[in-house]
Amino acid sequence: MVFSHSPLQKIYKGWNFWTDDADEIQALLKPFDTVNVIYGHVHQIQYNQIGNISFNAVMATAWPWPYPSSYAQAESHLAKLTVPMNRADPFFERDATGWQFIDLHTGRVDLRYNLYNNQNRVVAFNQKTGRPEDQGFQDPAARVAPQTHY
Amino acid sequence: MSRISTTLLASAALTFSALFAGSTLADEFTADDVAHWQAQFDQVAKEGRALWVSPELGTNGVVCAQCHPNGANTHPETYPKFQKQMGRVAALWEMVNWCIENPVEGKALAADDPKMIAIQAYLAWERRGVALEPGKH
Repeated sequence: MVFSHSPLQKIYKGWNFWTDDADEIQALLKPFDTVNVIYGHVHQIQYNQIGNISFNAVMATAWPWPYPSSYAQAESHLAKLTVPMNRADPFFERDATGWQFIDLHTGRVDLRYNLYNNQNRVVAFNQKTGRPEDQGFQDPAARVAPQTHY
Repeated sequence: MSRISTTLLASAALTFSALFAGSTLADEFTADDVAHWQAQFDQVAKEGRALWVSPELGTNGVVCAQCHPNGANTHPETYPKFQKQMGRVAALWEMVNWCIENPVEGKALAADDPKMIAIQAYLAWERRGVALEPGKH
């Protein structure tokens, strides 16, 4: 179980959604069967699976932060696995902020996101597919329009 | 002949010859002109960038870029559009003012305030290459 402020992946350098030596760190974690990285910094729901390593981001209690895909000039490597949060509505000052319960009992990570101005979400490790998945929205057909960022 | 009429005559003759020479067409400009105009735009966009990361628009230290780094999530190409929170179609400058007055707690700018023009120039520059999609949500 690794707790890190930095994402330990390379997502978008311009906003420091980035860890320069991520490749080396991931190589260090490779010998272990089950690795969970819980990170901050990005102020949004993100999750990813790289080999044996699960990545989950935690929320912030302030400052909604956009997804890099909303910056037209950015080259973003946000995991395709991630179903984005709803776009923040600036008229609700707590929108896109929140916190989460993290359940570690399986040796994997389940996050129950408590979002003040939005529908709560659960991102949990799926033993069958071997990756974290959103419990409500992972299927593209189940997604809602406000999750589309542009 | 008075001096004025001599001047008029001379001007008329000049205009006449210029007309036939084809050198006074209205929309003539040079590469230097284009470079100059581009530099003007770039300068205004740069001023917009400076405002975007400066607390001077507000009173509480909050800056635009804290929620909108690089102007992200402002989608200028979709305005004017229906703004559900306002219940009507709004222009981009109105939303800029909403942010100035609320999260930033500053004073709204006039639509033609050079600062407002600069902010919009900066946002458009950050969004360059994206197709216009008026009204999109």
